[in-house]
Amino acid sequence: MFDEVLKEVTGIVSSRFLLNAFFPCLFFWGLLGTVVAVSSGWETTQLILVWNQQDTTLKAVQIIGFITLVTFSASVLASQAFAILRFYEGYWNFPFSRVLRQVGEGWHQTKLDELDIPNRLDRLNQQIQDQQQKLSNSQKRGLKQWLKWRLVGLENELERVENSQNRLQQRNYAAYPQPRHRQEIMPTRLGNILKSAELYPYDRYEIDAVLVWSRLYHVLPERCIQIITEARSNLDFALAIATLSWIFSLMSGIWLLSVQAPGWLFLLCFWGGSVMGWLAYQSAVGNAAAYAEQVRVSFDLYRYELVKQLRLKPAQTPAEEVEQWREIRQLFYGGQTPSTWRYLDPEVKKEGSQNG
Amino acid sequence: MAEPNAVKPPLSLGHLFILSNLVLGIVGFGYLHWVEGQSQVRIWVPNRDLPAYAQIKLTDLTEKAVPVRNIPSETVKEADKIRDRYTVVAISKDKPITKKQLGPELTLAQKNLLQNTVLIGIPATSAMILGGNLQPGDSVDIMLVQEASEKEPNPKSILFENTFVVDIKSNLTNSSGINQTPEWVVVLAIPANRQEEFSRSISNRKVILSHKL
Repeated sequence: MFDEVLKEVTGIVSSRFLLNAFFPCLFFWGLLGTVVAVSSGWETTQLILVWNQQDTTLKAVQIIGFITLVTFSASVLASQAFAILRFYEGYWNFPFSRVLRQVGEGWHQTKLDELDIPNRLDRLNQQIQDQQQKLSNSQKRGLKQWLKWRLVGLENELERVENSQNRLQQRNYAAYPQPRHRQEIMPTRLGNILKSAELYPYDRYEIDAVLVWSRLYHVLPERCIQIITEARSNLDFALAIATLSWIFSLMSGIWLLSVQAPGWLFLLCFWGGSVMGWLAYQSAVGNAAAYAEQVRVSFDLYRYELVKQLRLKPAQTPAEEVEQWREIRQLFYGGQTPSTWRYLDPEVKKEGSQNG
Repeated sequence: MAEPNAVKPPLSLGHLFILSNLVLGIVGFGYLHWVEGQSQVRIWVPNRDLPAYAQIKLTDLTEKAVPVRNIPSETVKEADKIRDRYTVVAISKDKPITKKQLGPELTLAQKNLLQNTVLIGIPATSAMILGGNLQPGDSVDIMLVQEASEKEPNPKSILFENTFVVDIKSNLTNSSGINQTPEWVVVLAIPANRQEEFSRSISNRKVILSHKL
């Protein structure tokens, strides 16, 4: 029965809207209403009795009103999906956001430093050399012993870093931009994962991802678009749940404080909403990693398709490719068409002349 | 490359979020606990579970401090207004007693009327309870009337005068339309010495409740 209804409804409204916005909002308002009723001293049986005693017209008006409220809030949530994503990435512009940004960026810059293997190895080697120098110059027995211990400690750390290079590189690849983009670090984990994917095409091919992505999207095969859309949908869903959970935590907390509800109910709603929001955010971080990986894959595999679509000949060497993308960037941003370009004949794509 | 930060921030935003949530939760809980302590009032509650239709004595009650939000509307707080009244539903130990859970306040005459009585419930129609105007605490005459027959052309009616109406309850089973039982149950206090007579007479007689003006 429900399947049939859902099938009918999804014919009118997109299933993405229903799953990512409507049902979360329905659950949110239902739960908030329950909290208000419980804290106002209503009992379930009493509520059912009052409901049953009402006129059918009044019942219909109430049901329509509730569905309107849910649909409206779901529409707002769906239309703000991009703004919500930007918020969780760390693009903030509210009072005291600068302080929060500094705290978050500082923390993640420290984490990124731990993943900067060449820099760490250089520093450790330098420290070991310094210790060896001090050891050879030292005369005092106690100091010598202490320097030896310190040297052993540094050598062990060097070995540990060398052994965990692969793991650290993987972590850096998935979760952070390259260490040379230290200034681009974002204050949140989710922000850094997406920033890493955003900077990936530039690091590899000097492709400006923000500029090229919307064009590349049009040449992606259907299957690839489907996977990316699904990954993005999962990310939006988790962020919608996190947002609604935190709004619930805040709204129910304020309400329960104002009506002087029992302490246990306040804690249950306030902490329960927060924990739910936190779990949903953790889920969003995982979904963001999957989405970011699909974006990287799209650039790796289909950038040539875009070049072909622009009627240019794909570059033969990495150096040529970097130069080609630099020229494409100049074309899009500045409108400067390189005079050396020769467009391929769309009919005989394989025998066109080389650009640049 | 930029130099690494000299000072590592002690907390991430995630840590700050968890910490602020813990602090706000504890502060909120503390505030509500404090408010609960401040807003307690002393009321009289049963010191044992009371069954329905039990007359409450002072020894059945105890004084207890209860938070205001736990006190339902129409709670009878004073012992003087509770004692000697009877319950119309079972009341749990330590729970506030509301007006709806008690019968009416009794006058001396009514108290006397309830002496040496037993409670019986009779099914009643809306007409029998005077369209809903008959109330607990009223006194009625019960007439048990037998229809005339060839054998007994002038059957004798049995009268129970000045009977105390203890309670009137709506019969919920009828509202569903499943059975055709009368809509109400009237609980009456019958003199204990006439209990047997009442039981014997009611089976083949029609019950009429009459209320004096």
